[in-house]
Amino acid sequence: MEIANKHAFLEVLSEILEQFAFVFVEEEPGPVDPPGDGSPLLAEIDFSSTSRSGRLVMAASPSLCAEVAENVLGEDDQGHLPEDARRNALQEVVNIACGNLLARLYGTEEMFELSVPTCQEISAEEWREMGESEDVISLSAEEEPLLARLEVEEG
Amino acid sequence: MAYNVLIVDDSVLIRSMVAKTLNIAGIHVGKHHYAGNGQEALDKLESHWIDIVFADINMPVMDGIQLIDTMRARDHLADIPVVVISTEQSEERIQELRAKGVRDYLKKPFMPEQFKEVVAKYLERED
Repeated sequence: MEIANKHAFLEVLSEILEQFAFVFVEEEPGPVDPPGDGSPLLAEIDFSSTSRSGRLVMAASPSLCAEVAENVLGEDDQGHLPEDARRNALQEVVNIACGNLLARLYGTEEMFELSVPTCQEISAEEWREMGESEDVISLSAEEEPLLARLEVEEG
Repeated sequence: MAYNVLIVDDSVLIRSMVAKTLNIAGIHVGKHHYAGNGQEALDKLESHWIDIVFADINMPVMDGIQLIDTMRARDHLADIPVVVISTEQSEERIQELRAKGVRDYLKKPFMPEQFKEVVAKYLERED
């Protein structure tokens, strides 16, 4: 990923997580270990325009997804998270981050089609593989691990 | 005056967040109705009195664009104000939505003041 794009990516992720979920993000210098609190969740969204296509992928610990969901729903709902709230939370973070990131990187004149985001559990091994790939940004949010990757294909 | 609102989004989290944001904005909601996609929204619109619709675009089964087109094609639903809440930001998309009669467009993440402004603009003046 180009340095300028990486800065924009980090800025957008930080802004979105802070505004949407009151969660603060820091970049980690190297790969982060898989979460120890259960299977990580991975959400992805595809995008395409006449000039380019790609995908935004994010993986996070179940605890971080739960914290995002709790913060979004508000204090009253803590401990009573609806079924699928964790998946929903990560899907929505990916969705919001993608729209805002595309506008930041390519402006608002280019019209993108976005897919409906999906979310699935991944294994610790899949987390490690993703974390070690070159274009992944390793982050921590509220001391929980978070991985993010933006794939863009021109043309 | 209390308004009946229909919140259309495939994310239960966002539906709940919109409802809470309306409350924080001080908007007096009579009844909240919820739908997870455009088809569910049409079912609600056909069976309940709705004053305003807040709808996402990207949804499974029937997306927000199809919902808006279907509403505009049905005379008894055509004048209900629709406000789109989405992450998409292209000028072309926003123009396309306005051409279809969408009253306003709120970008995610949204703020309570934006809802207050929208309700004031499209409902209070119609009282």
